[in-house]
Amino acid sequence: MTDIAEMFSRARRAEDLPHWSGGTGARMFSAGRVPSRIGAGARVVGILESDGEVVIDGTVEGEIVAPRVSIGESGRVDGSIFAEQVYVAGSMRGPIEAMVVTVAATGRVFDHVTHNTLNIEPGGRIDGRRPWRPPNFLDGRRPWGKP
Amino acid sequence: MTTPGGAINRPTPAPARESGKPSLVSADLKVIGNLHSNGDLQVDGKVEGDINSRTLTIGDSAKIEGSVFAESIRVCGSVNGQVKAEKVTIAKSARVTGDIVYKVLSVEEGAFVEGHCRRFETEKGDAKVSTIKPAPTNTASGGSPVSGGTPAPASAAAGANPAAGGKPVAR
Repeated sequence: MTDIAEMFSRARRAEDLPHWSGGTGARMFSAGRVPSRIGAGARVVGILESDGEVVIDGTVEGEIVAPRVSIGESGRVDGSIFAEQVYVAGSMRGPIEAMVVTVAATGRVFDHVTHNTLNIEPGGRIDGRRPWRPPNFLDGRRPWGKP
Repeated sequence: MTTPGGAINRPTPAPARESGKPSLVSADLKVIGNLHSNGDLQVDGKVEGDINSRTLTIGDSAKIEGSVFAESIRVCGSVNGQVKAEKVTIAKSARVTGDIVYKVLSVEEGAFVEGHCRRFETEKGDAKVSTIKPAPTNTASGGSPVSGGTPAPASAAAGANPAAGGKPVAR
């Protein structure tokens, strides 16, 4: 079990995580594509809809709908996330609904996390309910379509 | 962060100075709302709203419904709205429907431009005109509340404490 602890302590970025490149099948969404990035000096007020990966290092006020969402250490989201995989190393104020949610050691979530698989690294914080859902709970609701 | 940095390593009009890596709206992303950046921004996807950035590159596949403001803008894609920058470069693949306000303008042969082109002058005494509005100070720092962000937790806390209703509670 120490292997798992080491694995997470080394996982400083979303792509370091073992499930991030495979696992629940989100690989096909971003294979060969460049992830969108809201940089550290950027701020978006509104809705973000993507068929690929979105990396937030800046601020987003609003809704994010994408297969993969990654909030960097400087990232901050005030709104909701609907995704296949979510990685939070920054601050998330609002509900998350995703198959796989990972909260890094620096991550803070201030609302509900509806998930099928939840990973919390030592130090990561979730201040809200964490309801579990069966693996098919996103079926029929994925705007990015099922392959 | 080697992998994404290498992947985004595509030509940008100027190297990012303030915020490290440039922001990127890639082809599979659609933004409904406004986008502000005090660094560099590249748009390859769809944006329905205004964009305000230091430098802005609008890629071939981009589709923007709204105004764009920056210190320098390179347009290769489609813009439906005003384009305003000190330096505006319009590539031949561009399709601009709207006015262009500039100090330095370059239009490549074959570009589609429908709208007025107007030059603006630097105001007296100003070394340069920045089209970027004063940046919102509430950036990533956790403390300052963003507009409309925090009332909910405050009211929730008040509701959870029934004593808070009538008399002041000493804490």
